[in-house]
This record gives sequence, structure tokens and C-alpha cells, in this order.
Amino acid sequence: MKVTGYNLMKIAICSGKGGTGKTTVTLSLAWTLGQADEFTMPVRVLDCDVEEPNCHLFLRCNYAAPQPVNAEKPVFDMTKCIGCGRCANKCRYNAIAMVKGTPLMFNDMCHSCGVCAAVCPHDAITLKPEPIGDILTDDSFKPFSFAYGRLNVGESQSPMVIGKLQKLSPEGFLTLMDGPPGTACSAVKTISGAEKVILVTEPSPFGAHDLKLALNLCNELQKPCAVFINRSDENDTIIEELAKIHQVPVIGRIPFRREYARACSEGLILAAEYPSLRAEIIASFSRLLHDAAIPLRHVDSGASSAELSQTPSGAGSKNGNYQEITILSGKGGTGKTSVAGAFSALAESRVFADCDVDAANLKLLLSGKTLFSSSVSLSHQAVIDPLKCIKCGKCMESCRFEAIDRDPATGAFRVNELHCEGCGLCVEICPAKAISDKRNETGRLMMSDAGGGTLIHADLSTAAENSGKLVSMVRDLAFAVVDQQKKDWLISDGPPGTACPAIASVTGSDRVILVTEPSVAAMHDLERVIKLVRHFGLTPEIIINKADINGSVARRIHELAVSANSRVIGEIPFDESIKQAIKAGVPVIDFDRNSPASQAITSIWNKIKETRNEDRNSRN
Amino acid sequence: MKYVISVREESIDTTVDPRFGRAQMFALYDSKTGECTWHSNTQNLQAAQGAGIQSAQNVVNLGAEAVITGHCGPKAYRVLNTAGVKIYNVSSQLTIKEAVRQIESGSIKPSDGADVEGHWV
Repeated sequence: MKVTGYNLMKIAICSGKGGTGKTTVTLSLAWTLGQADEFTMPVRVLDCDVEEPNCHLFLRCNYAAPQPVNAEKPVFDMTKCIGCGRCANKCRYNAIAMVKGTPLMFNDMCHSCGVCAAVCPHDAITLKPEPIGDILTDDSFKPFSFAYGRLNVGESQSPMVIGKLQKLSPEGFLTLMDGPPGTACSAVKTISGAEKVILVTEPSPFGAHDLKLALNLCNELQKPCAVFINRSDENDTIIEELAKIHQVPVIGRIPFRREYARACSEGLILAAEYPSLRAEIIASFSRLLHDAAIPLRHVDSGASSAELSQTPSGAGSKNGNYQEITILSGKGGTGKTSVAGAFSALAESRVFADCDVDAANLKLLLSGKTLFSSSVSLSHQAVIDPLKCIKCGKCMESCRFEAIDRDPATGAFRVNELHCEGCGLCVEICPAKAISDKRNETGRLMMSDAGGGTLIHADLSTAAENSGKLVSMVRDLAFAVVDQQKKDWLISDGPPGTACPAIASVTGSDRVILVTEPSVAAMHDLERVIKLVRHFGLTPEIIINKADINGSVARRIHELAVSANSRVIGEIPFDESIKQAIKAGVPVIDFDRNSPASQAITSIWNKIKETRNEDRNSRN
Repeated sequence: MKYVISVREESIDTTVDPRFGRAQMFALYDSKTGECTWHSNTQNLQAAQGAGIQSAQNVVNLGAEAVITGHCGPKAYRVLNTAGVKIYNVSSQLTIKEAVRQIESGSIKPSDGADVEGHWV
């Protein structure tokens, strides 16, 4: 493979769904290209998944001193502040409260947009940098150099850390950026900084569903991309067809093998352990360079749902005699939805809520008729009126999110909707009053009849903000429905990660179950999510899925559970029937009640039922 | 004493809504006069984040001396505490008058901290 004409090459490795093998593919590519004779560019890996960085777990690096990443937060000069409250009023993030003439600042809510300083009539606010994360770099690691970013736990400004990290792609290098899962703001930031995108997926309906979201995101960002199938089996048709519809190539495959899963779970780079994969990896990279294409946009026509103009009353306070079980995982792809689906099949009297609004998958297992669907608007966006705009460029200069572009041909200014956070700064500072706010549709809230129970779910528009808020709306509606139907259980399938949507799923829940798998990456993320759950005063209960893939890591998870004051309530063996059930689109219990996985899940469910009352939190 | 109570509906017989920031509405109840007025909290229900902070700020502006709710998070607590507003965490089975009666008879004490965690730190 000859690569010419490139001075700098930046590739993002992303996926709609978590746990498809992004990190595996990134590191295998970097390892192989870093020492291939045919490829002469030096390689650098940037782990842009700053909420849950995992690449470093596979590498033994010697990092230079961490470089802090700062964000500007307001500081008040109380000799100038008259307590007018304009700052609190204009802050879209509710980060400032004005209490009897005194400003109270909540730094962790602040998005550093600067609107408070811009609107203060007495210049009482200055913006000062505060640390929100850091970056660790090892320039001398072989055969590729490496850097990763870490967002401080509890902070929300991941794009800022990713942006700083992306500046570390020197000229003359091939930079591989391991992206975050999903299609929200941090994925947008990662892809925006790349020239080409590899979308890693797996041949399952879940993988296909989330790949579709990622393809539509690449379409909106107009980035050429290509699909890489991990855990490929004899039948990858579901992914191949999707790639064809969107007119992007499938550039490579790593077959599904138990020993591969084991190597990854140990924290080993797959290509380093299995040199036989080398040829396929080099060929896939060559195909990426030649064939990557901007995907066509494709939206399912789908069954048209009955539109109701009004959302059912969200008077969903927890009140009735049901128990809410929230299922989380930290890392994506550990089998959270399969477990949630199986519990749903086992619980007789229940309502389900799919709180993973970035990539809602539960409906693929519990399909049924949509009873209700309503669009929800959660955020604002700026719009520039071209007739009023005087082209002064003040908005572009001031915007902290690089969300305003100038058309080089006409000089006209335009809001980039994928980057605009709706902070309102430009609206405030435009001297011609040419910028206004519009509410934009950021998602759909839906209620479906899911074979013997009601499913509440939602879809978040591509790259939309506020998934945490949509999670709260899903749960509020679910509380109302479970109360009205007088059911015993509310089973909520939560999102991966530990950021805002995960927080919104845990708050006020009765019981949290964490589904993990015995791998070093999953264990790393499990520690973070345990911290989150304990923070809400709950004792997390852990299920180890695919427990027999790596017995020694499974044992370490048991030890972690003990030391973190939580408990393992069961193990599920690795079982092909789970994969087959997903392909068939049914919960594993309905697919084969006697399979080893079904039996394990049934016994775990019986344990949960038995301890229902003892664990019940008083919510009255 | 002027109490603000988080409630689900506009009725003196209604029970306390356990949520504060995302409560449907607030009742402003004056235990001296027995007068009760209703204040919608729907703007906060639309807030993407910081509903508790904004609700607390509104409650302070309503002139409340005490808040009666189910659970109050740390951020709302900080706002109310700064303004010198007392917080009473009560059972969601109590009606407005029952809650006020129990508070005034001394059987429910004001909270000395946030009883549920908001976003983690």
C-alpha cells in the first residue's frame, strides 16, 4: 500500500453503540500500521472518549505530567454587583441563582458560554479559568505515540477536553481518534475534527440500529465514512444491507472468536496477539483511503404512529406500590438490554422504560404497536436573520462553541446547528438584533404496547443536547403509567456511561442493577458507575455477564464488589442463545427458556423478587 | 408563618409532591390567615437542568419562610439556606394542613441538610 499526497491524516473511529470494539479496532490499526513497512507515516492515537477512556488500559505508557484543561467560569466582583439578577435570568443552564440580591454560583452547571459577563450592566463579572479535566501524553510509546483526555467526574463539558486533545495531532502523522459511543455532542466534536470516519459495528439488530444513527450523523457532518464489522459471523447481511442503502463500503471484518474476546478482556491488543489479522487490517485501511464515502441520508418510513397533540400528563411522581429497577452498565455492550428484556419477560406485572435515549434498543426486543408519539422540544438554537445581519462578525468571535460559520463566498454568517448549544450569547450581543432563538425539536417521546406490557421510550434527534432531560421525561411518563395500571414493577433500561443521562436514570430509583462483563475495560467503568450509584445512597447489585469468558477477571469483580460495599447477585454464562435471541428480536427467555443464560437470569430474577420488600426504599 | 408546599394539584386537600424542583406546582399557605394561593412550576418542568435551583429562587421570591416538600437536593438546599428559608421533609401522604399542623406542633423538625443528592460531585 502506497500512501502519497498526505501530510496529515486524521481518522475518527466511532460507533453508534457502545461495546462494539472501537478500542480494539483503533489499537489494532495503530499497532499494525505503526510497524508496517508499507506505511511510513508515524502513527498517533488519541482517546477522545473522555468520559470513559479505555485505551490506556491496554498500553503501558510513561506519561509526561498531566496538562490541565480549563474552562472559564464567572467570578463576581461584589463591590460592583448590584444584585439585579440579569445574569441569573439569562443563564440557560441555571448555573446562577440570585438570592435576595446575592449571586450564588453553581460551577458544575456552568457551560462557560460567557452570557453572564456579556449581559452584566455593571461589569461585575469576569471569567476565570477553572480545571475541568486533563490530558496525558506519551510521545515515546512504540509503535505509536498516545494521548488521552480525562473529564473530571461530574463535569459536563466533554467537547472542550476533546477539542484540546485534537490539537495534539502533529503534521506528518496519521492520527487515529477513538471516539465516544453514541451520537451526542462529544461524538459530534470527535467526528468534526476528523477527515474520515470508521464506524465499528457488530452484526446484530442492536448494532444495525445504532449504526444507522451514526451514519445519519456522518451525513449531517458531511464526513466520508466506512463500516468495519467486529465479531463478524457467517451472516453479516444485516450490516451489509444497511451499508448498501447508505452507499458506504464495508472495509474490514474481525471474526467472532471466543479467544479474541478473552484477549480483549485481558487488556491485550488483538493485532499484537494474533498477527494473522495483520493482512486484513492493512487491507481495510487501504479500502478506507480509497472508498470511504459520505453516507446518504436514509430515514425509515416506519409505521406511522398516531400523533397526539398533547403529552399525557407528566404528573408522574412516585407514589404507588411499585418498585423501579434501573439497569446500568458503565461500559456499553455488556448485555444490559438483553438482561432488561429478559427481566421484562419474567416479571408478570410491569411497565418498561427505555432510558437509553441516545440509542433506544429495548423496542427491538419488545416490539409492538406504537400507541402514542409526541415530539418534544428541549433546547433552543440561534437563528440569524440574513436581512438584518450587518456582517460585523461579533457573534462568530464571541461564540465559545465555534457554532457560527462564515460562508467564504458570500460573507454571510450562519449558525451551525450541530455545534450550537443554544446559550443565547449571540442573541444578547448582536448589535443589529439580527439573531433570535428558536426552540428546536430534540426528540420524540413514545409509548408502545410491547406484548403484555407498556413500553415508554424516546428517540433523541441526531446530535441533540439534553438527553438527561429526555430521560427524566421518559421516567415521568413511566411513573404515571405504572401508577395508573397498578403494576408491581417498573423496569428501566439505562444508558451507558456516568454522565448526565445516567444520573437522570438513577436519581430517585429504588434499586440499581449493574450489568458488567469480565474484562479490564468493563471493570474500569464499573468502578465509576458504582461510585455514581452509591452517591445516590443505593447499594448497586452486580450481574456478571459472560462470566466464564475470563474467570480471573470475574473473580476480581467479586473482590471489587466487596471492597465497594456492593454485591454480586449472579453470573450469566457465555451463551450463544443470547445472540440468537437478539437476532430473532425476542428476549432470551422467550427464545429458549432452558438455555444456560435463561436459567441463570431466571434464578437472578427470583432472587430480586424475594428481596423486593427488604430493599424497598421509603419514598413516602 | 408563610409556607411553600410542593403539590400536584390546585386543591387544599391535595397531598405533598415528594419532588421539589420538578414539582407540578407550589401552594403558598399562610398559617396565620389560612389563605392559600397557587403558583405553577411548569417553567421549571421544562428546564434542561437546574430545576431545583430555579424553583428555590422562585420560592424565595414568593416570600416563603419555610418550604414543605418530600426531598430537597443539595443545590436547592444551598439557595434556600442562603435566603434563610427553613426546609421540612415530610411524607407525601400528608395534606397541606396536616403537614403544617405537625410542623407547628413541633413533631416535624426542619432539615439541616440536603436529604437527597443531586448531581454528584
